Parts: sequence; structure tokens; C-alpha cells
Amino acid sequence: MLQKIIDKALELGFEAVEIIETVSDEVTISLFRGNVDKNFNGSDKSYTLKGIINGKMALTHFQKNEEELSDKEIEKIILKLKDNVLTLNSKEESSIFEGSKVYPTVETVESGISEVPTKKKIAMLKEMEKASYGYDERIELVNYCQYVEERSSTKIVNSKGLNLSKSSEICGFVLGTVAGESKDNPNKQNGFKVEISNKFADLKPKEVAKKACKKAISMLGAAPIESGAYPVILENDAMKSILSGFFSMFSGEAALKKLTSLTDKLGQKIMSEKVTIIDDPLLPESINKEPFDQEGVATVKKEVVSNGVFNSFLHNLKTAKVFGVEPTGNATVNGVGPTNFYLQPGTLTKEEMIKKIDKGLLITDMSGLHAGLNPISGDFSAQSSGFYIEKGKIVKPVTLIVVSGNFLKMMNDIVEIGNDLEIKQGGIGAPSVWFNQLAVSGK
Amino acid sequence: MKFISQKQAASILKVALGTGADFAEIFFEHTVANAIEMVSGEVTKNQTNIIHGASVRILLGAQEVFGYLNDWNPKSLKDLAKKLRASLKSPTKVEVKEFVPQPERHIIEPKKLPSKVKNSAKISLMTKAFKSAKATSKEVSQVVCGLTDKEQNVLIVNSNGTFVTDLRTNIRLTCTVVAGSGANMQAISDSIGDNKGYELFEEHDIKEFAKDIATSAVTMAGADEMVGGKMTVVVHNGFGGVLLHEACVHSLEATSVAKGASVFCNKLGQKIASDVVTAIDDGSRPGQWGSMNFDDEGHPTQKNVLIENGILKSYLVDYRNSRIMNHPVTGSGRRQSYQLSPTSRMSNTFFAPGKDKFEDIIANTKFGLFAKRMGGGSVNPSTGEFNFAVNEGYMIEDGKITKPVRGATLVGSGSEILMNIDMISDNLSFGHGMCGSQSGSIPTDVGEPTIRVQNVTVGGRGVK
Repeated sequence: MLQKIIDKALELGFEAVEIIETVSDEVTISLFRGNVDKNFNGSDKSYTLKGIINGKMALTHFQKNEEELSDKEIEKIILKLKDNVLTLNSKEESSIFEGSKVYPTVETVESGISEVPTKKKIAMLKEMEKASYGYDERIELVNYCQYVEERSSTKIVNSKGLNLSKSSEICGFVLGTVAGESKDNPNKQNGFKVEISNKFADLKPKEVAKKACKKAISMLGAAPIESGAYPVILENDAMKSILSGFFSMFSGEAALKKLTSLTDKLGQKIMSEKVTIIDDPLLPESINKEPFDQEGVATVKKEVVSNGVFNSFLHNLKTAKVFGVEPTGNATVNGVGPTNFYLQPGTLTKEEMIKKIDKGLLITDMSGLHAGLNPISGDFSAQSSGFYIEKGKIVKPVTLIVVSGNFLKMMNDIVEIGNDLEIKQGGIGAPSVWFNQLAVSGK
Repeated sequence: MKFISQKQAASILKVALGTGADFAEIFFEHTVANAIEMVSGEVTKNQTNIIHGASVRILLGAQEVFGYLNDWNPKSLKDLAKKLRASLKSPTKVEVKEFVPQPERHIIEPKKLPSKVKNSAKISLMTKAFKSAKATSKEVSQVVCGLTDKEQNVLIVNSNGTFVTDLRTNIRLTCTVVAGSGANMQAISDSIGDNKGYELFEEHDIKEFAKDIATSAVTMAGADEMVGGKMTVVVHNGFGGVLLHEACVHSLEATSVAKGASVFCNKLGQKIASDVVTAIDDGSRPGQWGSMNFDDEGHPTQKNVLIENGILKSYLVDYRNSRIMNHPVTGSGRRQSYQLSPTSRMSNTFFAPGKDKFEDIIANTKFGLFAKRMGGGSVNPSTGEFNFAVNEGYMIEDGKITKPVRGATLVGSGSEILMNIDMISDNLSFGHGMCGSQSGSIPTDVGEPTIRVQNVTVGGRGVK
């Protein structure tokens, strides 16, 4: 079927063609007050067809069961793709890849999800919900209690002889809890925790309950603090939000569009020498291991920033060609993305850093970064919550404050980097980081 | 679009109800969506996505099972229904009701369908925006335009007698202009969008639209950093309505309310906002970005007055949650695609116009922030805490708009901010966004006349 589409596209005038087939099955089971209230089950098979004419490439994405896809429909899809590709007039040339010489091997992990009966998964959800309500009487509501699993496989086939495939299985629990001092007190706090793994046996729903509840309870009574400049520790989750928000600064795609301020900074020191940022597609502790990217390029570990010096953008085939470098194996279907992109941890624990602060803040959550940041200039202002630190101790929870800064400036103003890197779920990760000073708006 | 016969649909629904469930629904979808990207006047992407499939949803009381396939084959759908119904068991049998004829609706009536408009015509709209933005100032360093359109054909059938087809053609032209250099680079975006055909662009001056964005970007590139603190904020009309969307109406969606997870639970008939506030969600405004003839559960869309003179009048409620909440459905059941189960969502949400004049609001403000152009935001409905970004801001000093400021973010709690609105002007307008929640990303309009809010926490990097 895939070969048939490729042949038809070549016949209709394309110079090179690639097709990516993605098959996925997902399950979501939700529990509410002891009963399964939602049980979802979906199967999806979709295709991405890419074609090149005159060095320009367009793509089309379609979903349809093979039996339903007639020759006439295939031809219609290809002709529309051709019509689209002929409109492209940017200077950059795209290419379709014949394949890397060698690919790293990724060990197959047996998730075990197929062997676990649904009953057992529901029983674990019930345990998690019960553990949450039992954690503290101030836990008023468990508003999300979900089990999720997803099986997916990807196949990349192209007219240059590439034929690659990979698959993955992940499962996990999602829990949201709401705490309040009393039913009548309108000030509520919530705790939200997601745990995803590639092995069912690793999942510990009771631990998830403990973490989500601890979070909600510890934030009770939170209030804004005085506006001012404070030393701030961004806890690993909050630091991850910042790093995710500014990922595009390091993207070859953004560089191509002149939407990053780092275009002329290669080889220069842009951050504190304490900072090393790595993208490692084969990172042992991550459940997400990618032998090749979405264009079939073999992945490789690289340091994006080494001891403060900016080394490299992350590239796909097109952006690498424009900048005259090798692709870095970071192609997504339609751009550039991270595999396991993280800030290298330091040696201190979060507690050790807190002990050294006289007056400051531990920020545990940041929201609104999708809107409150400027990925070009590096400026951000984010709704934040966490704890006030006095004389080396956490003294009270803080909420409804805005922490503002500039990403590059603050990465030059680091006191210490913690040792608590969280990257197990892949994507983007960070340890807790202590910054000398950030602007805080509150009372 | 030829979906499936009524006879075939009824036979699948019958299978779905076979173990004693009391409601079954099938949602068929075929969507062709196009996205063109233009960077510096060059067409860099032109992508077509075809979304095709069907989902089956079965309810027993509030218990829900849901599944989807990329397939309209009745046999496959029956197999899916059999698999899904297995976990729903009840001794009572509910029959599939006879389909009632589809009511007539004329809210969405596209004339120039996206599939009938050539690529070249679409690109010339984008070029017009690019050229105008670029010509505005030498300080404009980058212009990125995006044009997205879709033809979403759906059929919604259910065991209560619904057999409804609908077509949605949301079209949007987005323009992002970057001005300044280095650490002063500032990007401003805006969009023209409606649930109409390409005739939509005949109603707009694209050149003015792009020039306006570029002018804002240039102004902001030279702006000072916002100095944070608590102050009076005047939120301008149009996209400023995101304040209502985030700070309040997400917490009025049954998704949160039915679970008791909203700060506005059990507050119907109570005062939750100041007297000047009337808030509306109306999915039946003709041709508008967040409008539809029918929602994704087959209910006609309608005007819902949520807050009237400060009193909470209604929640936004989908069919399943109406069973839990004992509240009528409000035509608010929406989903991004057949792969998601519908839930209560917004459509076009706005503050009703008041009696104040924009000029008087500014003149009556001693000190504060004028939030002329808002960015996006988010809310946590269980705590009511929200945030949103101000993309173009100015200080108000002694009743006059003075210097531009950048990097301002507003935070607060929904229950407080509604009480602190003290002036509402008469200049209602709308902005177009994509709203993300449990049932995916959907087009929604936010709107308001200019409003004034007291005591808002404003964040920023500036120092006094």
C-alpha cells in the first residue's frame, strides 16, 4: 500500500516521495468517586505524505482505513499535494533522505500492558483515589483520576530506498486533587501529578496520590508576597516550564525564520559557565529513546550549550542544509523538536540550596508561559506559586505572584544548579536552579 | 457529503444499546484543512490535512464509554459498539427513537468554500498583509503570515432521534510582525477569522489590519519594561475579552462544575460579579468564528446569558453533564474532532456593552495600565487562579494614556476580578482564538467593550 502511493506520486511528477505511517491505539479509564465514569478506546491509522518538485517539499496528512482508500482518492490526494508544492517559493531546498550509514540500537522494552487485565487497572485507580481521600481530611475532591495507555508504531518509507520502523508502548496515571481548609472556605489549592512509564510494573499509583496530595495540602493558605527582587529557586518542574518555553531559541527552524536572538551567537558564551544543555535521544534514564528522527536521520547526543558556550542549533535536513552543517536528528513531522533535552544537573540537593537562602522564594509552578513569554527576546512574566524561604527554611506558601525575567540574563545569573534532574518522561527536563535575583510582583 | 443511511445508523445505535445502556451516539467526520505559511513574503509551507473517521459514545446514566476508528464502515462501527457496550450493563432496555427531521438553521452559510478557492488567490491575500506590514516601518524585521481554512463535514446521530449534518468552514488569516533588534525584538500578532467562506475577506481591509499590527510591534520595540504592582487596569475591547474567558467562563463549564471542582459551584442565582457585569456565550451569532449551526452533539446553538447584572444565571452544559447537574443543555457540546468525546465548551463569549464611553474611562483613571492588546492566558478552574499576558500596554497617568510598556502579565482569582469591574463601555468587538481543554482545541471568539478593573496584580520586569 505505501509503495503503491509512492509509485503513483512519482508517476504524477514528483522527484522524490516519502510516506510516514503512524498506527496508534489508546485507552483512557477515568474514575470518579469510586466508579468508572469514562472508558475510552481509540484506534488511529494515519499517513503523512511528503513530495518534492524542483527542490521544494510540501506535505499532506490523511487518515483513512486502507480498504476505504480507493485508487481515485489516492490520486486526488497526490494531485492536491502537487498543487500545494508548486506554490512554494522560498529559497531553501528540501530533501528526502536515503538513510544514515548506521543507526543506534534501542533495546525493546516489554511494557506488559497487554497482560494486565482491565480489572486490575481499575483496581489500581480505586486504590489511588482512596489513598488520596485518606491522605488528609482536607483533600475535598479528587477531580482527575485516570489511567492512560498508548501503543504506537511508525514506519517511514521513501523513494530513495529508506525503510525504517519503530514502536513504543507507554502507560501511566494522572491524578488531580483539590484541598481546602473547610467546605465554606473559598480558597482552594490543587495538586496535579502525571506519572508515565514504559513498564506497567514501574507504576506506583499510591506514590502518585501521596505526591499530588502533599502538593495541594502544603499550598493551603497561600497568599501573594510583597513585590520586589528576590533570590529564587525554580524547582525542577518550574525550570522545565521555562526551558520548554524557550526551546525555540535553540531551534534551527526558528533560526531560519529569524525568530531567535541566537542567530549570530554560535561559539559565544551566552550563559553562566555552570550551564550545559544537552539533547540526548538515547538517554538511559528516559523512557523516550529515539534511534532516528521523523526524516529517518540517525540520532546522536549533542551539547547545545557547553559550559555557557552556545554550540549548535538543533536541525532537521532542511535547516542543516541552509546553515551548512550536519542534521542533528531532531526533525519532527513538520519542523524541529527535542528528544531528551535537558539542563545538566549540579551537585546540591534542593534542600541544601534552600538552607543557604536568607530571604527568597522556591517557585514550584509557573503557568501561562504559552502567552507570557517572548521567545525571541527571552523576556517572560509568569503566574507563579511556591514557598517563601526565610533563614534557610520554608516558612509559608505563596500564590498569585508574577515572576519576571529574561531567559538569557537569568541563565547568566545562576548561583547553583541542583541535582534533581527530572527527564524520565522524555521531551524537556531540568533540575532545580537557584537564581541570584528575579523580579516578583505581588502585593 | 454522503455519510450513512438512517437505517444503517439506527442499526448501529441498536447494537450500542444492546446491554442496557440508555443513550448512544455516532459522530461521523470528514474534514479537509489547509494551512499556508508565508515568511518574509515567501511561501514556506502549504499543507493539507484530511481528517476522516467516526466515534461511538454510549451512556448509562453518567457512565460513559467512547471509542473511535478511521472508518465509516457500519460493520466496523457495530464491532466497536459491541466492544464498548460490554462494560455497561442494566436490565432496562431503551429503544432507538425514530429520527426527527433536521431543523433548519442559517447561522453558518459559507458562499466561497475553501475547496473552490485557488491557492494563488489565498496566497495573494497573504502577500497583501505581508507587503503592508513590511512597508509600515524600517524597524519591521520579520513578518510571518498564516492562512488556515477547513471544511468540516459532520453527521451526528443519536438514540434520542437526532440525525443532523453540519458544515463548518473556519477561515483565519494570522499576521505576526517582529520589530526591533536583539533584546528589544518584539512580536505582535492578530487575526481575521470567521466561520464563513472566503467572502469573509471582502468585509475586511487587510492592508489596514497588517499595518495596525506592525505599528504596535514598532511601538512595543521601543517600550519600557512594565513595573509590577497592584493597580487599576483598563482592558481594551476585542481580544481583551480573554479576561472573561479565562477568569470566569472556564469555571462555568460543566466539565468542572459537574464534579464540584469549580469556584462557581452551587452559585446559580447568587451575585458573583459587580452590578455592571452581564456576560453572554452565544454560538448562534451569524458567521462568527466560534459559531455553529449545531454543536457537536447535534443541539442547535443558542444565546446563553451566563451572568446578568452580576447574578449567575446559567452554566455551559453538555448532554452527559446535564444528566449529572439536572441543568438543561445549552448547545455547548464541542470537540476538536471525532477522536475526542464532546464536553461543555465556549463559543463566542463576551461582556455585554455598558453605558460608559471609552474616553471617559481613561479620563476617570488617575493611574493604571491600559491593556490595549491582550495575549493568551490560562486558568485553573478548581482554584480560580488565572493569568494572561498583555502584548501591547500603555500607562495611564492623570487620565491620559502616556508611555508604552511591555512584558506585563495580569494574575488574579476569577471570583475577585468580576467583583472589581467598575466601568464598561459601549464599544463591543471580538477577537479570534483557539481554546484548548479536555475535548481538544476549538475555535472560540472572545469579546468585550473596554472595561475597567480595580486592584489587579500586574507583573513585569521593570524596576522603579
